[in-house]
Formats: sequence, C-alpha cells, structure tokens
Amino acid sequence: MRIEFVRSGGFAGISLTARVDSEKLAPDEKAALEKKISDASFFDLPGQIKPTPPGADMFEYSLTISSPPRTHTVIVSETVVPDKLRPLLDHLTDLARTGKYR
Amino acid sequence: MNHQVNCLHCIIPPHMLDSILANGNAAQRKLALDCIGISGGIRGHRQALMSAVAYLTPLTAPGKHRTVYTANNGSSLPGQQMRDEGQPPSSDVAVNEAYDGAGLTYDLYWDVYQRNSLDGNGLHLDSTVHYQQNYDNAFWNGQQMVYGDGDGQLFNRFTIAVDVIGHELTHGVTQYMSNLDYQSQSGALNESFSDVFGTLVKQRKLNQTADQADWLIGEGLLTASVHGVALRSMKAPGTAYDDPVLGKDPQPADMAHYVNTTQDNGGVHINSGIPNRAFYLTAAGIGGYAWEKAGKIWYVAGRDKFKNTTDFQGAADLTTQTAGELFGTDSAEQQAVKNAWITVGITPGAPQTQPQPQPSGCVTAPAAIIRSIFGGS
Ligand SMILES: [Zn+2]
Repeated sequence: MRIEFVRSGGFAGISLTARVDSEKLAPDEKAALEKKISDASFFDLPGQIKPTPPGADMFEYSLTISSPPRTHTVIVSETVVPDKLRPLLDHLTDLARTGKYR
Repeated sequence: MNHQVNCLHCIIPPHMLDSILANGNAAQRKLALDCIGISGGIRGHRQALMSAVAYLTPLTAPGKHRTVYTANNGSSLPGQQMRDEGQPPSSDVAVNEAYDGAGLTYDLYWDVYQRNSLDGNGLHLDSTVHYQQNYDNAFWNGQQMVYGDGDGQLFNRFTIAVDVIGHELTHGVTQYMSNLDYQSQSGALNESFSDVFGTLVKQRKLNQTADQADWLIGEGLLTASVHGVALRSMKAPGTAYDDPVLGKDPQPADMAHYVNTTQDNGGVHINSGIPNRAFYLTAAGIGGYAWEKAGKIWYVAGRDKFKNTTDFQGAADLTTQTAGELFGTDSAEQQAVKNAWITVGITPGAPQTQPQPQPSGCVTAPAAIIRSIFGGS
C-alpha cells in the first residue's frame, strides 16, 4: 500500500507530510499500519468530512491510500475525525514528525 | 454626550424611550440615550433622564460575558468551568490569559466600533484552554475558542500572545458578518481579517501607533529554540521565521507571488500575507493609531459590503469605496487604501458612481440649530 498523508492548516499554517510505502516497512510496522487502515474501514469513508459551521484554524488531514486496484482520498477536519480513523491519523502524524517520510 | 443622533428616534415619545431603556438591546438603548441627550435636556423629560442614569452602567459593557473552561488535556468541549465573568483570577495562567485577551478583544469591538460582542448582540465568549496534550494549535470551532498548550519544543501555549486570542475571536465576528467562505481567496481574506483585528487588539493594549507597532502575529509563541520572531509578519510577509524544523515562512507579500495550493483550504494561512500587507500599508500611510481609521475602514467594509464570496479584488474595491464614504472621495485616507492595494499588486476599481447614501442620522445638525428650533436654553 502507498500512503500519502498531509496535515495542513492550523493557526500556524505549517504542514506535516508523510509518504509511506508499506512494503518497505519492517514486517511488524507494516502489519500495525495496515491493521489501522483496516480498522478505519478507510475505503468506505466519505471523501470529505467537514463540520458545520466550518469554524477556522483547525488542522485539516488529507489522506490518500492506494492499494491496487483501489485508491481513495479522505479530507477531514480535526474536530470531526471519525473515532475509528483517529488511531491511523495519530500513527501517521507520528511518522510525519520523524521527518523520515517526506 | 454624543450628538450624532438619528432623527427618527428623536421623535419617539418619552414613555417609549423608557421602555427601550428597560427592554431594548444595547444598540437600541444607546440610540434612546442619545435622543434623551437632546430631547430630554431641552424638553425636560426628567423621568427619561433618570432612566438613562440607571442604564449608564450596562451601556459601558453591555454584553461582556466571558467564561473560560479547561479540557484537562482531553478533547471534550467546552470542558470544566474555571472562571466566569467577574470572578477573581485563577491560579492557572492560561485561564487568565484567555479571560483577559477575550476582554481586550471585546473592548476593541465595543469601544472603537460599537459592536456588542461577536454577533453584535452580546454573545457570550466561551474559551477552552489545555486542549489535548502538546497541542500546537488554537482554533474557533464555530461556537467557541480553543487553545492548546503547545509542545514546549517548538511552540509555547497559544494564549501567550494576545493577538492570537483577538485572531480567534475575530473568526467569530466574521462568521456573523460577511461569513467569508473558508476557501482560497475569500478564506485568505477571512484569515487576514483575523490577523488585522488580532494585531489591533495588541496595538491598542500597548498604546502603539502604526509606526511603533511590530505588526507580527504570534510573537512569543515560538520557543527560544526556533529561528524566528513570530508566525507571520504583516509588514514583511515571508520573513517571520526560517527554521530547520519548521521550514521558512511561506507567505507572499504581493500578487506576483500568490501561492496556488490545494492544502490548507487553498492556502488560507499563506495568501493572507497579501491583504495583511495591504492593511499594514494603509495604516502606515494614514499614520496614528491603526484601529482608528484603517481599522474602521476595514471593519465597516467587512460589516456592510463584503459577501461570503468576496475575493482580493473585491476587498480592494470595497475598502477603497468605504474609505471614500467615511473620509471623502480622494481624501488622504482613501488614497492610502488605494496605494496600499496597488503596492501589493491589485488596482482598486473606479469608485462606483451611485448616489451618496443619506448620512445615518442628523449628524450635520449641531446642537445650536436644534436649540433654535425648540427654543431651549
Ligand atoms: Zn485563523
């Protein structure tokens, strides 16, 4: 699976990014990440999840996962992240913070 | 006493003035008080005057009601109440900063622009501090302000900078006025409005004129280990920080460097540098306290003319038009607005040739004329 993660926006407007090819991860890391994708039912989530009223300065996550033949993108504001998606976003945020996946 | 009195309200009989004083909202009470100031003084409506005295105290801060909560490092909003309006300071510095910053912001809008809170009708100001853990952000969720403590490595707590607090509250003001769409240029204008009035809260607190102010957004927010002075510079967009971890301040200073991106709702925190600089240049061109004239032009344009879809060109046209209406066509103030937008790469359109609206009230009728009509002392 190929994963493209961007957390943009926020008051500071400074983005965090991670591009991960799960095939290149250590086996236990690959399994942990793919379990979170599966637990999130990622490919069944709507493409856009935004709050009403929209508010301002919230982090916006953009996540694209390719697992041929499927590719799906979800854009979601931080205050309306589905509970089952949260662990995956937290995991990818941690990977992005290491700076090793830009 | 303010003599800018609306004629229509001056013919209201005294008993109705009393009723307005007792039951009206702040704006209505102010109009009633203005009427009494002349008609009461001249015709001797003592009862109305007594009522006016009774309501003078609420008029000074008609709807200032702040409540600060803590999320106790969780995500539930609003969380546990820590300090309500009028209560003494807490032992928690973030609670007090959120409370004081909301007060300074309320005061700017009320004292300078006669706006009673975010919605113009005394909306309570709710803030939550200690949101999540090591949280590097502050936001407006459509109903309240939310502040993180920062991670301590890059960011300090977000209540540390009063302009951040003014910024978040102004998102509420915008939501109740133009409701600028939070996307692309209208979104960048929404962001810029928050930076403008956030920095005016700070400048007014420090009693600084436009040339004395630093025009930085989020000064003090970055830790000492970051190479940078703040998150944004309205005076010199793109120069606020340049750091190995955070990267470089990406803000453009003019349209030639406008950033097209799909991230951050179309770069709302990036391209806001362009209208931010237009405001700075306007304020610097006019001189004096920026909230008095430049701020007034932006506020009135945002309140009366902006729509949710207004873009940079629209903002240039409408602020120029507003400056003409407030200070006169080809006044120094209008020229400052025009020059500012031209410097950032946008030429304001020709002023619209619609007839001048009637002045709001008998602004031009000095008290002497009214005295001669009514034969008062
Ligand atoms: Zn903002």
